[in-house]
Amino acid sequence: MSNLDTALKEMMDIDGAVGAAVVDYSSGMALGMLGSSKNLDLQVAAAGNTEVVRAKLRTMEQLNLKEEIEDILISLSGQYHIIRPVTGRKSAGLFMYMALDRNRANLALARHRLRSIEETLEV
Amino acid sequence: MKLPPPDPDPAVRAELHALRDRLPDLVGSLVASSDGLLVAHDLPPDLEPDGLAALTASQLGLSHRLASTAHGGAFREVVVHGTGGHVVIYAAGWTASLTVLAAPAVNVGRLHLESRPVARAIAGLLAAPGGPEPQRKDAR
Repeated sequence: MSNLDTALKEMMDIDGAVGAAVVDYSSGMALGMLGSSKNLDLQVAAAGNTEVVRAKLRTMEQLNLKEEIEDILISLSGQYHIIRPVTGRKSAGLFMYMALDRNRANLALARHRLRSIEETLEV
Repeated sequence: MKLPPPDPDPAVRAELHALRDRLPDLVGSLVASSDGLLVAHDLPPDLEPDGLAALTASQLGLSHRLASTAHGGAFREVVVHGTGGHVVIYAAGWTASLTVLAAPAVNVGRLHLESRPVARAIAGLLAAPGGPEPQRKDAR
């Protein structure tokens, strides 16, 4: 099993996870995804959240902020969506995306787990 | 009594305009029949639609044959990724295609998500009885 598949499985093991994807934000296409369903089409999520990441990066550039995005949290009434750009030298241009059920998830733990999964991810 | 279907040409053009509204990085689009005739286009003035329709048809024919030789299935789409931008050709039914030109920085995932339904809609419009060129080959 590749490192990518392992990472996706670990993401889905996080409490409350409903979907996980690793996305290339230069093309907007997912390299891998797990948990895609009728309620959460991860291909649509990959393309849509690519726009989110690109917009944020563009805004930071215009604000002259020479910083990195650690993660982006979007809180919906029933879900948390977390976007985490992958920082590894070999995996630049990718981000991890996951959706969590707000009733079952522990946000602090989920962010912590996501950070450790990202550290081991090599694509 | 059923009314005759509306002329598909304006309908096809309306689909192309709607696609442009949804995709900011779109450069232009065109619909051509598999024999290289232009059905409708929404291209910038510096691009010659008839030439591009003819080119599309040869790429379409080649891709159809490649797909059926390799896997025995039908052709769906082909992405040409150039340094100056993307050209994506989608099959629109058996006898037509939708060609989409996009900027190099386009979100290809989103381009596919927006364009595939348009290709299907155009296939439906062209297949409607009384539709314009291209005629369905299997209907004769």
